[in-house]
Amino acid sequence: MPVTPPVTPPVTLPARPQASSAGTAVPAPPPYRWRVALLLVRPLARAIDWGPLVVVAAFTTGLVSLVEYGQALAGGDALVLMRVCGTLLGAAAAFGLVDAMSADLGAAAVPRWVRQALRCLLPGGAAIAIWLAAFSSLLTRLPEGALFPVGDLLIEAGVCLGIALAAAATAVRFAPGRQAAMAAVVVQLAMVLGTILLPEQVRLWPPTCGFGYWDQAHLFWLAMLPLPYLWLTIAGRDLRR
Amino acid sequence: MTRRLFLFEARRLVRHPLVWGATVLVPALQTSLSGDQQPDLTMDPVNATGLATCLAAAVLVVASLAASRDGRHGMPESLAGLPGRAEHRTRALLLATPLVAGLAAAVAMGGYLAIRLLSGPAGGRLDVWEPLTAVAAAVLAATLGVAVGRWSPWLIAGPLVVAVLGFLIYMNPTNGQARWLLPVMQVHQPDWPDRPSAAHLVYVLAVAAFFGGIALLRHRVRPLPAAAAVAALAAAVPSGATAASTRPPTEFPTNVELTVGHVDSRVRERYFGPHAYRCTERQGLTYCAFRGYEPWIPLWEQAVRPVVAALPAARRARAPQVRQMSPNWSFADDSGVIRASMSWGHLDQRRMLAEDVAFWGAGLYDSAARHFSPSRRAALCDVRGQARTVVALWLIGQVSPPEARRQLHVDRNLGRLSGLDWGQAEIGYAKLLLASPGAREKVQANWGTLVKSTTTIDQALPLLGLERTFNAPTGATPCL
Amino acid sequence: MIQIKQLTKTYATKRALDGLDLTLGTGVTGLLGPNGAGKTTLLRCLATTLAPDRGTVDAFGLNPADRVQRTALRRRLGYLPQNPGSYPHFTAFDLVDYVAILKELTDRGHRHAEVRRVLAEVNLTDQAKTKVRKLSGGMRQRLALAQALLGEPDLLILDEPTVGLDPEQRMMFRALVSRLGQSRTVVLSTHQIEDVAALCERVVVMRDGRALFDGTPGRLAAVADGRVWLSDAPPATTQLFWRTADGRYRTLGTPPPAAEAAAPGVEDGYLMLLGEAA
Repeated sequence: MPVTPPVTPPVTLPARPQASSAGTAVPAPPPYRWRVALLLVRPLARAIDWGPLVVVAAFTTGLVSLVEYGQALAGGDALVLMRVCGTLLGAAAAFGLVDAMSADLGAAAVPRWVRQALRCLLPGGAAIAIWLAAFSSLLTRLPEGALFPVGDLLIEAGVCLGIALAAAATAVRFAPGRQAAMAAVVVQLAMVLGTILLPEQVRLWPPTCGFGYWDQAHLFWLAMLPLPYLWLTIAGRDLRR
Repeated sequence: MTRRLFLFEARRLVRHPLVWGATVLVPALQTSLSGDQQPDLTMDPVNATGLATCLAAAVLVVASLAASRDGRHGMPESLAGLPGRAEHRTRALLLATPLVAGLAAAVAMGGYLAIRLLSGPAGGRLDVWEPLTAVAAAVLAATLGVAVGRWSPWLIAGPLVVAVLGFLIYMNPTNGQARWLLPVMQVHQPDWPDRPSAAHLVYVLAVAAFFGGIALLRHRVRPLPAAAAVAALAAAVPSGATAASTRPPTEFPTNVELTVGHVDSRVRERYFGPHAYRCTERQGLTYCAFRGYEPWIPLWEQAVRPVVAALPAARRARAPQVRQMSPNWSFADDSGVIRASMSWGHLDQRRMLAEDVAFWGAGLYDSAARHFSPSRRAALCDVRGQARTVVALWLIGQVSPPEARRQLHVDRNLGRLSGLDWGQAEIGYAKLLLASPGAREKVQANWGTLVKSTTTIDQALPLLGLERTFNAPTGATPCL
Repeated sequence: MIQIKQLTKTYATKRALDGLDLTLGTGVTGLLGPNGAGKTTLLRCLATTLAPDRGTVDAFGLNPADRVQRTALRRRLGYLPQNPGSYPHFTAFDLVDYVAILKELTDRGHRHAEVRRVLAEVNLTDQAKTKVRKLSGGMRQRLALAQALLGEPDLLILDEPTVGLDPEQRMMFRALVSRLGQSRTVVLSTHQIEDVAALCERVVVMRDGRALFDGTPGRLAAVADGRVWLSDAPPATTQLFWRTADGRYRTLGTPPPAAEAAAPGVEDGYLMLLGEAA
């Protein structure tokens, strides 16, 4: 049975068949993805659960300011602080991937990956900004000439954030509810623990700041850095299975 | 109702992959990490307690999720109409989570210690309170997790508490005084004073009970939980104060010549007293181990005996005593003893004992002692081109293949780089000598000539029955 | 026109769809069946959110298995899932507006007009500025329905749409759906047999992933022709019966003693059908 479009639709919709001047129905071109993505920023920024990130941001601020308050901070302490903050911020950002309307939007025309990418970028970006602010605050408290490889710590934070997001993005495919985001914490901890079993050259968190196999380990993780983000891309695809 | 709920929650917890995963992971990881070390009853329980913090962390997160379950998935409305109140559920969780967590920790700790005890002779002294602290820490994590889940609306609160505690536990390398208020003190060394483990265990259990009371007080202030919390606090304060008042191990001063007087008095009593050592004579050699470490003597012997056996009888008769000593006690340097470390098992530790005997036997340590006189700059003692270097490397080769000078593992905090300097030619000749039939007889027959500092390798080759294969010049400023 | 051929879907060991063949045209089709019959699985396959293990769906010449065609099909369908979600802190208008963006309605003016239109369709105009968390259960269900109506979809898939609606709202819903069914394909699954009887021109009864019956509500009721009885005493057998509001017993199947025949309804036909198939 042929489908007849409504005679006088109340609104002209971009993607529905419309009568052309020649009288044949041609689909209107879909809007550009970036335009849709830009439109989605505002509602998604409101839809995302920012609570965990706010709590962790407050915690990070407290931790960075109160540990060894008023004194210079040893490089080792700063190293552990930044790792703790990076892990927690990654875990908190992962809550952004939990979508209460996931089932409703399965049939939406805009692909799921657009929403999930925004759900990573918004809290992920905020997490990175908070981490960088904490980092710059810590740098001012380090003693003169302290060895503190900034770039290498950025790699660690990037891996932690990527793993957290990838773990949560995978978990939300299979489980509804906020607790799916807790997969981020679990996988992060398991992975960091797991690297203890690896040779020192490839441990994610080498204990000695700048010494030993520090450089080799960070080169390795720099090479591995795309993997969690690649996984994240895969986990963001359509839920149809 | 609480009993039924308790069974329900206990079943859920036992089946939780995070709990049983951590229960398996902790002993597996710790076994892997300590795989190259001989069982040490002083250190193993402390090390395992440190890693069992991961199990406690998992329990805390799971317990907080279980306690906050009531507030998710639209449950509040459904539960509000039920006769079973939130207090019942909290009580059930407070019974189930510590029980399952304690059992999981006991299984992890017991499993690990069993694996260790089965993996070879164990040294050290077991402080029974230490493994129990791992169990208590898991119990504390359980009640704290329930309290966090009940009091905080955020799921991230559990991981946050874990992060704070983890940070404080991890950043505690010297067991600072107030740090005994933490549930786990993961750092210890065999040459440190005894730990206030019993008081700490009581403290951890009391704090666990206190958080149980705090969790129950979330619902309403009732006399029993309030009294329990106060009683727990009353127990936690004195036990915590006792543990926290323990002096941390005295650190050695820097830039001064160390003496035995710098050693912590508690350690001095134990390790420098008249009854500190248990000595045994085995095949003409004397081995002295600290009390509890006697089972390691046969292991030291495996590293020393082959080298000593290759020495000529006269030299063998003057072989020094093998004595256990902390590598941190540099003031106790005594050329008359071979020092066995406070830990044992790493291949480098075997090599070090063999090196010490071989370098002593070939007279290289005497030269090094003259070379490193306090008035001289600490340049390496160059023993290249000397026949006795080849002999020493050959002696070491009875235990560990000759190799280039490198940093050797003394224990997990220290490495050792020999002050003697040798090259590839000496290694090459030592390997040839090891492969040469009748080498032992030739070495012993020509011992006097070979160990003279002035005998070059080229001069020694005919005595050893070796062809000239490598260019082996002596150094510009040889160590004689 | 939507053609479903040999559609099969298995979850672990449970076969949810078992080689289902179905053709759907303009009008309202109601899916009936016990829990686990495969209704939701069929609707999810139609809504392109679930891929069948075997078989094909062809909707308006578009094949959902193909990514590009799937997106094209999604532009033409509206879907109300069984358990719709929401963001409680959004207003009703904002929530529908958000879904409208995801339906690629990018022009702000047009989009807002469309949002207002669908809110009016479900009688939520007055609640447009109310936070979702403050809406009643029935209002939330209507809000979810409004999202499905966005963009005037050619195919409207409604999974238990009348759950939580009061009688007045159900009447409104029937009016709305029957009007939509005049020009587009509407498929709905429900356990409310009276809804099916009232607004579906076609009923498909499913059981174990297969279509047991496919026809009009009248034909479904006719399945029980001559097998519905009213009596003053309950039947002695274990066959299906219940006590009606007037104190008499309505029995399906063999007549009890002194029973009189009653006119069958759609529900009677449905129950007879399932009883025979069991």
